[in-house]
Amino acid sequence: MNVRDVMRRAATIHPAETVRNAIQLARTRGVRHLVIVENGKICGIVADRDVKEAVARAAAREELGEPSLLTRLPVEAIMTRDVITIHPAEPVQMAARRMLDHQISALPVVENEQLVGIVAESDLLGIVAGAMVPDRAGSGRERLDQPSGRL
Amino acid sequence: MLVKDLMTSSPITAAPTMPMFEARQLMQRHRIRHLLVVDGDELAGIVTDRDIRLNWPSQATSLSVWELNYLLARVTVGEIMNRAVIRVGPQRDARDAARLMLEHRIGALPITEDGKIIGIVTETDLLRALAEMAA
Repeated sequence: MNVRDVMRRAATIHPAETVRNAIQLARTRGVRHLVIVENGKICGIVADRDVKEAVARAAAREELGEPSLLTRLPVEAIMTRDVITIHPAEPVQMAARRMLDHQISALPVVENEQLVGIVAESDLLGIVAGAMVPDRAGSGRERLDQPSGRL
Repeated sequence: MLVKDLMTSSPITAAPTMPMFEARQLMQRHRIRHLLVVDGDELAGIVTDRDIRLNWPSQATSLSVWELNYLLARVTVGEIMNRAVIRVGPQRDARDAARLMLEHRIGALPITEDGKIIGIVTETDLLRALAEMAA
């Protein structure tokens, strides 16, 4: 099974958009990572953890009587610029290995320099949960409640 | 594959009376994100790095350093832990562990046998199992 079989459509946002809009987008899409894209090129990624820390810092400033930055802080100010990506034809095992090596929980999927999707830790846990059998690429998705072989 | 094959045996634990700041140090030292809270022999709860972040005093606190230190020493893991902990036995299939984590949006499962903690399985352990599967 390859990354292409488990990836989802990535939620993207422009680097100049505000952190506030990024929070809104992540909520509506129900995702924990946003890929920052400008002119079709990936320039960064933000995880919900980055956003929470930015919000906490802004809230602390507000408590101290300083104006909140949150309404105008652009996502590019808090994004991670070194984005670790993966190719859709790589096996899912490689995606798991890359997340472990870099201690990250999502990988934008890139083919011919184009963002084609995203694979998250939860998608890989879904494979372990038995929703799919990793060693039979293309065999389709197995239902959890149906008997199937052990991993 | 069973959870006992993936779990970390003899996990790091804390007593409910451990101050929160000490728990944070313990977790940082061992580079863990989940700390099992044990009262005697019994699993009493679990504390995540997120729980500690949420309960940590704001940087903008009006408390003095002395008051802050007093507060940090007073708040214990027993007060901030999650009590409703989902646990599984060592013979459970690894797929069940992954499914429980996804369904309940949790990152770790304590492994208990005869009421005693014998290990912990985290998302990272399951990811590692997947990474090591034959392609």
